[in-house]
Amino acid sequence: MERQAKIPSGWQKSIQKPIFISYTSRGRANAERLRSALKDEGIETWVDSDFIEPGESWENALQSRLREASAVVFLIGPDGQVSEQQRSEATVVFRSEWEEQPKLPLIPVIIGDPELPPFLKQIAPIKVDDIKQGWPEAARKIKRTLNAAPSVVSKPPSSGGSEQKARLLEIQQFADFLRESPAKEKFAR
Amino acid sequence: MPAPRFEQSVFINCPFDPAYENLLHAIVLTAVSLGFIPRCALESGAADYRFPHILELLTKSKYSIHDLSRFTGEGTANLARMNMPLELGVAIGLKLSRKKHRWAVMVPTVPMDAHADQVAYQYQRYISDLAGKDPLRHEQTPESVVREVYSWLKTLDEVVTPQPGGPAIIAALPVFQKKIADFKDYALGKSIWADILTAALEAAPKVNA
Repeated sequence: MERQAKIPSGWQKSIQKPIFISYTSRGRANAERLRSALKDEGIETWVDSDFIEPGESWENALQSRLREASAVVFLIGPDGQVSEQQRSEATVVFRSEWEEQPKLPLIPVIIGDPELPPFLKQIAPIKVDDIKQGWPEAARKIKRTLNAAPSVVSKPPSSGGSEQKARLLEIQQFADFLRESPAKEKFAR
Repeated sequence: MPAPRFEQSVFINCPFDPAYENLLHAIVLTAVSLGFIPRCALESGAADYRFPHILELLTKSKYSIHDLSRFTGEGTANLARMNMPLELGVAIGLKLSRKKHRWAVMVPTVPMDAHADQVAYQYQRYISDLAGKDPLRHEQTPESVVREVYSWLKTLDEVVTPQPGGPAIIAALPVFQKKIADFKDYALGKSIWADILTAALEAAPKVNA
């Protein structure tokens, strides 16, 4: 995949600010390893359990914390699975982009070679091949990324807008089908 | 024409009154811009939105969006509309039974009238069973609905990549509304779902190839 470094507009070095780590419940141990490695690099981290009080809206809590964050790391396991919680956290991150400038860098940290979910596909991931030894190197890469802010956002895949074009064509075909079909046929059971 | 693909279909469960129309259009334009096929009871073109039809649409959609804006009593009998919570319940049941369905709830966060105070968190009272599941919260404006729906749809596996930006979708809203109005004029004042879809296709911001 072609990638091209692009610095988010208005980006400022802010490594002193914490990083929020989004992980699946199965990935908790690896999240802790990454936190430890980042701590060794002098980078503070947050995970959801750090700041969500019982009974509190986690979304409100996360949204306010993201204002103080320097980046969001999405930890993706070898199966490429993204949990409901991670999707919800991504929704909060994307919503915050409407209010916060500069946008928070998203950094996928992948274990093995999983397929990334679409919302992370356009971003160059940091790869961890060895889940016992690989975390210090991953932490250093994250630190370098935050220091230089390069390659955080990469050029969209070379497919350009062809996927959207194909989808719009499908929707047009469906609209035409609705126009041409009698109502009783549309809902025949 | 085969049925729209399950994975790309988003069922929209929302009020169909004139006051909500612009918000429904905001949902439709956002969904279409991100490559999803909006489905809703208006598809039938029939005056009665029969429940079996709604069930069919829901089961044929991997995703659903449920707006609970009309949670207060209305009219002289002060009745609340229960259809939307009912359909949300069906979606939750689908998720529980086959796991493949994903749903999102939207609620308004601004007063709908001068007597409604603390609306921002009223959903915690009128649908307290959803505690722990934060809904998408909009300010009853098309822009805020685009923001919420865009932020959710963007996390889904079937979103087009790359996708247009949210501000571009908001910028396209006036064009979309104009196209809908033109279609409606042409149809002698009738609002036709296929026309709304076509208007959305034409107005959706395109990703450069």
